Amino acid sequence: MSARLAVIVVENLTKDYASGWLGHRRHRAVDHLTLEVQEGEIFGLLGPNGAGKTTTVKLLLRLIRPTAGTVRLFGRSPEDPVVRAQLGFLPEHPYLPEALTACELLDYFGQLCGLSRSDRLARAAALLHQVGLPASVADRPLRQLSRGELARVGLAQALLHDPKLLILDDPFGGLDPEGRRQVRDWLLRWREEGRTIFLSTPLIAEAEIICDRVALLHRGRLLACGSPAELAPPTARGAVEILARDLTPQTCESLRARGCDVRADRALVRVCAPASANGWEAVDFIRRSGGCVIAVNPIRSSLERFFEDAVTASEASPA
Amino acid sequence: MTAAHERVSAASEVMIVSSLTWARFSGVRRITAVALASSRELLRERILYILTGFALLLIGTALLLGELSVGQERRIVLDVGLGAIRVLGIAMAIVLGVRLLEREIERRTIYVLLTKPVRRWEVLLGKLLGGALLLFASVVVMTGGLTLTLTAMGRPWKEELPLLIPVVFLLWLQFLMAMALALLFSTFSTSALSMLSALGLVLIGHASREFLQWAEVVRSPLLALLCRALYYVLPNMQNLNLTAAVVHGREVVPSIIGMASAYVGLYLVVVFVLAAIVFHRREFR
Repeated sequence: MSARLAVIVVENLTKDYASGWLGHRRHRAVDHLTLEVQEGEIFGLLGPNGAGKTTTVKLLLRLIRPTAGTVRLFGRSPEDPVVRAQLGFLPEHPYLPEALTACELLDYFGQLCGLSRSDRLARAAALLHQVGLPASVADRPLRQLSRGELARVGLAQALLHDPKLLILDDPFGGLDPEGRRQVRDWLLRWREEGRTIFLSTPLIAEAEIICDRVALLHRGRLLACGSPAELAPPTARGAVEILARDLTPQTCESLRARGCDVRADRALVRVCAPASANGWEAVDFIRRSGGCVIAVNPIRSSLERFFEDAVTASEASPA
Repeated sequence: MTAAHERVSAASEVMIVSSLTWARFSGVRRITAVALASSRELLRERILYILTGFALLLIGTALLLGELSVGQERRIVLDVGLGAIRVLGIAMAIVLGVRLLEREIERRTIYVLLTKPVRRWEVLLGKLLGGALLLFASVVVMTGGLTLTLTAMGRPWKEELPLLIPVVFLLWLQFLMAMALALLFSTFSTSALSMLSALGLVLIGHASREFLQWAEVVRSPLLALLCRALYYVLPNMQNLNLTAAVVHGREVVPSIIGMASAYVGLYLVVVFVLAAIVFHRREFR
């Protein structure tokens, strides 16, 4: 069996930022991160805002230098222009020269990537069509475009030179549900074309759908890495989460006896009723027992729950 | 062979193909692409038109001043006209020099640009060349205005223009030095501080010979050494000012132009290398 190519290899990556008036205080944004991304997979770097995702992306691209550790893309330094020729990047926000039109932007970046004029024109037209940007929009200055349209231009520029590796910082940011669905479809198609995709996003549910493997990051530290199925088996459909207060210990015990997972957090009690326990019966039982039901929500994705548990465990354990 | 070795050799094969693709596209073409994009970007700067327009207005006003001074019309027009080109050209060079990088960093468009297969020093050189191109165009427009003014007061342009060209060429070289210094400061400092620092150096550079004279008169050998060092480090703008020659109708010896060009070329290389080193190490948070 032939070994798959490790496109991204990160070892003990650490980044400290200096803060304070004299720069004497250090804030650790990424803490000894080690991971590997294989050829042809969609890899998701997940975590809440401030987890260190964007810092990691900037370290991968060598927009910032690591305090310690190494990053290798295709076995080389990320600064190597040869690596850059195989790399497409979409920033967190569509930071693009706003005075240019989409066509002018693609032409300029095409020149930097070494495409001939005919290639630039052909690739730009095909990509703008692929990301669903009509010609009337492509000829307007970028400052006049909506956030969703800018995100499409951003994706088109990342793909312009047909890169083997795509690094996308929050590709779902600022998109409506339809836009997110389209981006998901494109990502899957680009993987089918043989590209490796590294994306960072705070939207765990989106990543769970499309990522082959994910890494969970919290306060710069890697909490877990693996396929969504390995990290958290799917939850049965129909399960609900009930938030309630004023529950007596006896009521909690009765709910547990009905197969519910009951967790008390100060005055609030979170009751996770599996599909087999019929959530609405549990709601009625809480009301009959004198408890106050605050909210009833369909249970979140299993990976989200896994992440929440991992964060709680990480915060409980000493640093 | 271990799995890790296999993976590395597979990576090398991919990169050999990529190297060939990248090498086919020369650095000159990448630098040209950045230069042209930077010129286009700077063409949208309102300050460029305001300063060029103001210079043309001053040159036009010189015609009125010339009318008031009997027998000195040409001298007054040339003094005021070349003075306006020099002052406003240096202001333009400093402002645009800072804006070359500042816009990209402020709007964070630098993120995407630096992830393209282009080296950081190529981006910097492209930007400097783009700015130089635009300054050249502005100098041509201002010189055209001055020539027209001289023609309006009855001076034949065929006689005046050959005298003007070496002078404005050296002025353009001054602008390039000012722009390069502004670009150097903008690689690590804020825009306001970069403009002030570059302006300060250019102003001192207009009196750099003073340092040589001070080196002769100070008693302390250390101070004398410092004065000499400053003379060589600061941009020598005085050697690039030939206004007096053209005012008095003297022809400029070509060797002066050659020496001045060589000096500016060397100075630009040193400033550019410093800027490239700082820019290469800069982090974009």
